[in-house]
Amino acid sequence: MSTTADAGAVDPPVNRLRNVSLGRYSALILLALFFVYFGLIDSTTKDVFTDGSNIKVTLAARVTIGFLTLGLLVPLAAGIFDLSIGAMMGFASMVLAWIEQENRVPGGVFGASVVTILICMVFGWVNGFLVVKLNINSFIATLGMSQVITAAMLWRSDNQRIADVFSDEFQDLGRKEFLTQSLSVWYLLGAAIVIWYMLEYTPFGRKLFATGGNPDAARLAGVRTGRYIWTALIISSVMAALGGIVFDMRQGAASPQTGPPLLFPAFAAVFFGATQIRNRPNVWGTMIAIVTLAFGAKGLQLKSPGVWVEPLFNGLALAIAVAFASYQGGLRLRRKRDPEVPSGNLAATVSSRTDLDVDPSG
Amino acid sequence: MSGSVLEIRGLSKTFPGQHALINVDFDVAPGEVHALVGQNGSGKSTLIKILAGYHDPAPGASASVTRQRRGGELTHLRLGDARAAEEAGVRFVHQDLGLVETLGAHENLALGAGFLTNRMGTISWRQEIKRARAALADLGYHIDPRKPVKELSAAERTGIAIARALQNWDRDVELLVLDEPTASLPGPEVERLFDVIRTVKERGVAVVYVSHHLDEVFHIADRVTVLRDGRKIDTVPTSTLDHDKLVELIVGRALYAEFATDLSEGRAGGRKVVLAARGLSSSSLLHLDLDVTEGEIIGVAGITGSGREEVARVLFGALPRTGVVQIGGVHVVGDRPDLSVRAGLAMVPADRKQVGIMPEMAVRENMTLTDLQPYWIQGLLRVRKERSEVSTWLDTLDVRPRQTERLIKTLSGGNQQKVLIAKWLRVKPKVLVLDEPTQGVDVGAKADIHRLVDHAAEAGAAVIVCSTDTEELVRLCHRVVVMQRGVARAVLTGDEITVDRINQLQLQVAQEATA
Repeated sequence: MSTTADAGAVDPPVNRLRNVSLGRYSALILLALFFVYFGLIDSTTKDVFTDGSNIKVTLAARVTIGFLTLGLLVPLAAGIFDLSIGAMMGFASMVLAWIEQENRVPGGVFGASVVTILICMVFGWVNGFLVVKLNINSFIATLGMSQVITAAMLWRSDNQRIADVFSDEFQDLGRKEFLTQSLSVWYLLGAAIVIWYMLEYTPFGRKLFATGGNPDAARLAGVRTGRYIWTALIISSVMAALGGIVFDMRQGAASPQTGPPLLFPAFAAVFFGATQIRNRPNVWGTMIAIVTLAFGAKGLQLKSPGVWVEPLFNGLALAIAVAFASYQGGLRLRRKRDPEVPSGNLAATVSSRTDLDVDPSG
Repeated sequence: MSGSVLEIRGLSKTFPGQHALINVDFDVAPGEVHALVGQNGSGKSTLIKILAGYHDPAPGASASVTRQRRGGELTHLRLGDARAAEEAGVRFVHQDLGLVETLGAHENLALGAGFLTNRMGTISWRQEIKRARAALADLGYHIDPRKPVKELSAAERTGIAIARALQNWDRDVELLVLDEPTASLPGPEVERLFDVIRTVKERGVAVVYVSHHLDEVFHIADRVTVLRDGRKIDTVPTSTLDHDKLVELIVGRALYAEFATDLSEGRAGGRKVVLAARGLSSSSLLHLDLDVTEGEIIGVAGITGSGREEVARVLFGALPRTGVVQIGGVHVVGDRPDLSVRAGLAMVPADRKQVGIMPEMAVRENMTLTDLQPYWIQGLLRVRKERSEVSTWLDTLDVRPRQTERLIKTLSGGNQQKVLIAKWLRVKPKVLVLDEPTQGVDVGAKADIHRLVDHAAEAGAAVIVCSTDTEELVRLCHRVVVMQRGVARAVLTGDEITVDRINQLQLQVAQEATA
């Protein structure tokens, strides 16, 4: 085509650059800025911030939240919320402690862990039943479930923490290090790889995303959407159970107060993560988001100690990241919509024309 | 002409490339029910929309309303002004009733008329409910005004919309315009609506009744105005007309005398029947029988409300149904799309945006969802293989741009539709059901899609095309079933398949079929 046609055309290389620009990697950029500022510039933090033990502690402290975010990712891919995951994680840590206390399950702590996971799966199954069979909005169903689980936990524990029931061998599994990092960090990495594989490289994951993308369309394409939603809720309950077990390893004690407060940070990381790398819930975007939030909060805490720093930081980072991402998305939409107005074919013509433009022979 | 409630003179309207209305005069007499009929594109909805103020008319038109309730005072009506009709005493109930589904009748009525408040300035719900109950009872509806509108039947919702339009009728309302009020009503509910219309008429409010259903016109209307290609053909008392004559006025040609009747008659000689449906019934279908052989393209025609719009979804099993569907002699369970797909059924739905695409996912993911097995090799979904196959399909279908990773929502309607058809063609279905395959698609893509349908049939698929686009049916189909009031009214084959013939049969009244 002649060059006169280029005036209104969208240039694809520029467009592509725009797509991969700051918004999708804002967490990584932010993380780098944190290291530059807290690690090199700010005199009150620079001695401590980049210290190996600080990095180790900061990462390890996020392992439990990491498991919860992985758990949230799976139902979120199917367009479903699981608000019971925080309570479930706390419940799992308590159940493991009770079983150890009573010492009735064969197979030691391993058997106890299996039983814990199974119990959580039952809760996940009930969540699925409420959402799929009784058609209750997942937000409501799992919110209700979280309260029921919390109640069960408080009733059985009398709101007392349980300590001194875990063996040293068990606690070593959480405390020991491998390649300079706590073992628990590696567990999380392993779980992330499994969830990543499942979501991105199996038909199951694809159908899960299809269910979240448009349940009606997915159903008409032959996907049994109810079954996928149900399975997703069971998987999230398993991740909550694993989070509880790893928590017990690291802390050597369980408390009914641990789970519920972790719900918001986990959601913040998942939503932040969903704006990263690609515009949907994804494992590595979420993992990067967790690390960024961890170091950002850590830096601020080193500067001005206070328990209020972290929730404030989580909230602001989440809002800013999502606003940034949707602003970019909005820009992209506006650029696409213009040529579509007069006729459906014009957009196609414009793009194919630009395809010719990048052809070196043209 | 002092004998008219509404008088329109010299109304014209041009849309780019099309004369929607050409110098139309239109009169409505006091207290009459006046039907406005015509085929799709005849200009009747344009006329209503100008009256309601959605469109501006071409210069030169005039309109006036005689206010019976104000001693016969003549009000000039500014056409194309959204408030003018309201001020002149003309009220509308559009096909989309415009009710807030989650609110009760009393709140819906109040949204139109303003809330009744007590001395404190808060809303007096007791008075609202009382008022709504009275307004509805006046129309013959005894329903609890507090019940959310979505829980009511279609006729009751229409009743509420009418009640809302008629608020303060004794002071203000001269004319009520009902735009296709029966489009979504089942038979008995239509009768109820007619009772309401008679009540309205008794109050001295004239009614303009827009409908596709000619039997309704004879049932309820005193006079009928026929539009064709933007011109007014005639206004005649219904008592001087019969069905054939009215159809002739609408279509512009004489009616054919006979038509094929039996569904089994049109069966293509000796070829294998792939899809056999017996006694299919749903909320809008009654005992539909259908046989489609391999390589055959069968069309389903019918006006909105005829059952045509459910045929595709009922056959595919996306809607609850009774009756039997077999593919190659094997029974297919209803309401289980996954089993339908496994049995070799495929459906491209009419509502592309709502139930067709997954807007935020890539073209590739939209296309391959129907079968991921070919890319699932040794425990890994091979995206590169997937991408190359999708890319081949984009070339074959001339989808632009050829980008497998682009979000499907950024494609034009025609290109989206091509992707949705390809997603089924790649699994080589035994039966391909298409519902409005070229709705909202540009001319070029339309021709491409028609070629795709031809190819699918040549490859041995049984194809069913449900469409309101009569020319499309003529272009594609070997047989055409014309639906009416939920039953297959007629089957056309060979030379009988013409645009005129299908249009005539669509509009034929149901009584004649049984005679």
